[in-house]
Amino acid sequence: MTRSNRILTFLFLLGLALFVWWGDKHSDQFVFLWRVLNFGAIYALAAVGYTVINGITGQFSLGPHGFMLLGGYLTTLFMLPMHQKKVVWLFTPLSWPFNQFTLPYSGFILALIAGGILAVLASLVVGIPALRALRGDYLAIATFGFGEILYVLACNFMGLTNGAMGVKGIPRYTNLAWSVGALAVLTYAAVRLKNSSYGRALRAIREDELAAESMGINVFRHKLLAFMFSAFCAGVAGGLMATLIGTITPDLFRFFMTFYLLMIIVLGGLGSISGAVVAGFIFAAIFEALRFVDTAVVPGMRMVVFAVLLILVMLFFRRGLFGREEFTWDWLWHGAKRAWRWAWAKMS
Amino acid sequence: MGENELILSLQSLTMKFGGLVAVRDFSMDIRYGELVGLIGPNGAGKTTIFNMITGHYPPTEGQVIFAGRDITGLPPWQVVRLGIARTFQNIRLCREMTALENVLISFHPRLRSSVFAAILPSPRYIREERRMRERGMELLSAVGLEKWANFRAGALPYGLQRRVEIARALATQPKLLLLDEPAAGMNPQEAQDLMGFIRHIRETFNLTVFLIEHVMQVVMGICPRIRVIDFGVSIAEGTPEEIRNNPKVIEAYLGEEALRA
Ligand SMILES: Nc1ncnc2c1ncn2[C@@H]1O[C@H](COP(=O)(O)OP(=O)(O)OP(=O)(O)O)[C@@H](O)[C@H]1O
Ligand SMILES: [Mg+2]
Repeated sequence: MTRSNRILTFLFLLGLALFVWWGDKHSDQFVFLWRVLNFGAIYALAAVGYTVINGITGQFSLGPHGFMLLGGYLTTLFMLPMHQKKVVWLFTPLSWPFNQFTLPYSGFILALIAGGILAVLASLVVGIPALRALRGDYLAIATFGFGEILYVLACNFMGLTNGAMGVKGIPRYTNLAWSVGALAVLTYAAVRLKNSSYGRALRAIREDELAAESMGINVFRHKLLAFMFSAFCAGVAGGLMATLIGTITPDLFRFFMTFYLLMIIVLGGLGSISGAVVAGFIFAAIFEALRFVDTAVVPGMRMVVFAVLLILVMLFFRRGLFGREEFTWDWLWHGAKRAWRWAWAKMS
Repeated sequence: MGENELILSLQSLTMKFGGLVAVRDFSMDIRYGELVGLIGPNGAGKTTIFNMITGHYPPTEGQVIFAGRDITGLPPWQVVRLGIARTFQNIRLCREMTALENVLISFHPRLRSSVFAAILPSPRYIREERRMRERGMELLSAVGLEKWANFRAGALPYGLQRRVEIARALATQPKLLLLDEPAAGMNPQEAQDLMGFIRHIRETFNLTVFLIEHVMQVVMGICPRIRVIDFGVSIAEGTPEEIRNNPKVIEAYLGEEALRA
């Protein structure tokens, strides 16, 4: 079975690669769908990281929007063309060293990784004091405050961010190859992490921190590890988002972003990585489809619709779409077999 | 190490919670290989003594010396790594995980591969993981739990959960095992079986065992030496026979009977 699973996985990845290649090639014919899939992949990426700390490790962070902001701005500063840098930072000059250089397209991957690394460094600054505290809710408070501080800084550090006016004309490098590619790589990493010995330690911490510590697990270090992983995912997602939209303002990464991600991981099933991925795409699809509600009805109405949807999901799927389970081929296979038998019984 | 050397020496431990003195000036020595019981009525301070040994509560006063080393104030995860494992009065398993996974948690601190190696996974990590699983199964077999390896721990009957918890403690490769009321909630027959089981693992794994028990009869049959505390103060120590006939002990337990009545 594992052998055929491996073949199935290979075929799936091949199909995905073909689809991504084809989708990017014909993006101008399916503008809406292409946009939804890109946003979906980016939300899913941030959500995968978020569920590692919130769902798998059980530590309530409210920080992903802050990490996305850092990744978004750093990637922007790396990739914005020189002429655009001169146009945007008109009143306050752009700070060194970003006024000295810009990366060509070939450096895009470096810019994304740098965004992730900056987010990881920030996660250390917040996580080391907050995760050492004995009480669990310190992390929620600290990350929330951190996000607010970053917002204020982004509005006022004109030399780096151009303040509330934001930055326009970012090259739109993000396409399905980048967004789905990053999602695939980091989802693989998250799944591996969850199923490894480290993941067992993280799950043990969620279930009974005291017991885990009594078995020799250094709880603090493992929480920090999960937090750093989630920050990296969010940082990369922020970079992808900036280069998808082409504009960045501090308002793009306010608390509502974390609220979206929270809805996504709850919808997917807290602690389920497959759930986070699927729910990320569902969220993006509904979110874009409901865009007219905001423009035609009342601004902000979309969120009301979402809140209602979330409540419905909570009522009918208590533990989200996936619970804590993961998608596996066996699961699909058994489901298909059951559906087939059912259909067969109906017909005869 | 001579037969008479001390594995654990508790020196004038005192634990205060605000105004409440849960344990007062408690001293005790345990030699390698001993099986010692600690008994006392409800709220006497037994669990608190364990918590001071394992680092869950830093003692207000006094020292914990383990194998000749002062371990007072070390965090629990370091204390375990030095060789003191414990179980909890109210079983604390990771209920959503399988019995085997619960045991594997205890192996994790000794994993050599980095987190990057585990994510890739590197050949060395794959070898380590396979080895851990083998050893986990060996351990479960040694305690008669191999049938239950892939059952969710929370779904097992109470008696088996207790054994999984003990197996998980054994997986940390302890020299000293602390058992906090392992027979709590069991009927007399189950309690007897469990005591046999404890004797068995003590011999197989060459352990020193320090055992808390609430019901006097249970420890009487298995521990050659018993210490009694009441209201945080040590009131007697001796063989089961001596303890049974000690007027102070009878009074402490009678007091409890009177409270229950
Ligand atoms: N963390 C704590 N904070 C405050 N008081 C505590 C704490 N832990 C224990 N105590 C108190 O210390 C006293 C001793 O408690 P302990 O749990 O050690 O008793 P015990 O002998 O294990 O009793 P039992 O047989 O009920 O398990 C009790 O009065 C208890 O309420
Ligand atoms: Mg107790």
